[in-house]
Amino acid sequence: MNTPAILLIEDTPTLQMVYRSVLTSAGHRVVLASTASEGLEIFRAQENPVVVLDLVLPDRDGLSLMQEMLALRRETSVIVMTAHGSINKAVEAMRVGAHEFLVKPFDEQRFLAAVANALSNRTPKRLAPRTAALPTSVPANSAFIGTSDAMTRIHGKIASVARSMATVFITGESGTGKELCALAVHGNSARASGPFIALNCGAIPQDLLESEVFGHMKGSFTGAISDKPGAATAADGGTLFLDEICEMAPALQTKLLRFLQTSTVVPVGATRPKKVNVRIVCATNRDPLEAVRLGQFREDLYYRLFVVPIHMPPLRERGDDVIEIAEAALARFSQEEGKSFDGLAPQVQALFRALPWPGNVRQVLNVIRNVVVLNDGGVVTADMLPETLAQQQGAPILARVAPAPAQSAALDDLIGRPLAEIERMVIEATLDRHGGSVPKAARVLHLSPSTLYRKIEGWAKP
Amino acid sequence: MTSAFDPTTLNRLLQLAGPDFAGELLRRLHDDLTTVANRMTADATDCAVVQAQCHVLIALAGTAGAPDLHADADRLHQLALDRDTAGMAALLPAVVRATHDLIRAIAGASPP
Repeated sequence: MNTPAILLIEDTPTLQMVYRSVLTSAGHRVVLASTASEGLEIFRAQENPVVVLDLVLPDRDGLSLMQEMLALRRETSVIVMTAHGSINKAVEAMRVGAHEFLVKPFDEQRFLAAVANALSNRTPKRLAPRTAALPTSVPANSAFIGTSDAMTRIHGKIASVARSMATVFITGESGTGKELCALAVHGNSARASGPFIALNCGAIPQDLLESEVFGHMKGSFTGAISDKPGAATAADGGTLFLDEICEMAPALQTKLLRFLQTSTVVPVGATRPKKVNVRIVCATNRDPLEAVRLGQFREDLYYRLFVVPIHMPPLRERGDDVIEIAEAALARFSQEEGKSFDGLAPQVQALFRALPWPGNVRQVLNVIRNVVVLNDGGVVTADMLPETLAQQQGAPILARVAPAPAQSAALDDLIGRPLAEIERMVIEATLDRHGGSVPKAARVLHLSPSTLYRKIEGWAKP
Repeated sequence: MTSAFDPTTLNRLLQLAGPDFAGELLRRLHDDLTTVANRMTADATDCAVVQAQCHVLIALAGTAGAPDLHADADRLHQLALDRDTAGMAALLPAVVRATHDLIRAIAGASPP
């Protein structure tokens, strides 16, 4: 066999033998090292595409060894092995470029899946020289326009994480560009030529979600008239983006965890698992750790997914980015609508800087679209803006809500009232109880913040 | 603390090692576990030693099919990480005993 050997660096003789037996039984060639220095010597001499590395070695910390190896040959896929108690170290390893981590004790299926994944991940792009492989840009899209410090940090993080297989967990308010961030991670990775499949876990009925993620076989349930590959299969060789991940039902969370551990999918109604090679990027507009504390999100899945967190900042924390975004959108929408606008008037710029933008970039785009559609051109002045926009200036989110009807009415008092009014009372009371925080109120009400913002904005309209 | 041992897991490993290496695997497992038990006994109050030996024991116990010992080694590892010497003193003797139980079980096992 001419394929380069897998380098196994493990100091415990029993484990060396177990890992080697499993790998050779699966047809891999293996070269062994018992210490970090021995491993590094072999690594320098041979072109080992995959390294299986115990993080605790007698002569050196495994993490620093891995960093030195990646500095020598960044295209190497390093699978780190760790005991459960040092899982934080494994997460740290993923952040600095490990391909995968496996928690001891050894699990034959997961071990072989990780090695196969690492070997199949060796695309020509990963083998390019360091400078060529480093991403130079992220998409010139609205959410990514901006030169604020916050966005500069985001760009840097995307650039450094894109080349790894590490799972990326994107958080941020609704409208901050989480999907664009996921696309940027995909587009700057070695998988860029593969598919990018996005799935909104909150938008698909829970009883269909398993079929959407893992697929189904013909006849497996009523309406399954043909075999259907799920999103995980469709994303094979690319990236699977799971948006609103915290909305996933607990039963499916278990299956997702199994999928992450084994890299295999079992479509609904299928008897055999199918192997896929997928990078997971997920997102939520909630605090995922809070979802764990509330028992709504599995802790083990959280630790599996929350390897490289990226927080998309709200627009109100991005300084002058709002002006850049608005002007770029103005130019684009003007072109689309066949009109000519000459930028934003100074008072409009000042207003835009002062507004809280609860809907973030999406809200800015809607405002600019509104301006372009309803006006003929020229400089955008305050009178061209939607009326409700100016009312938001300096107002906390709760203050935009009109005075509530009686908020603490007993059930008897509610009978006879329109349902919409009762809903509003409940929402306003919840907002009140949480200091006007829409994200917190949304969590309690089991709604997405964007839904809540829409309802609040709806009340503000005459 | 129990000495639960499931021979199915070990038998699968011996099968993977094949007839030429199964005996060698048993010998290495016996030696590695003995080293762990001896070092933990000799340096029972040294957090760094206990932590390092637990790291090995977590992997060996789980790999050999002793989930209870694996779980206790995991707890002891955490105690050593936390420098909880009182907790270590309470748990370590039982872990060492269970390790010796596993060593005896392995000594009684025979290659396929």
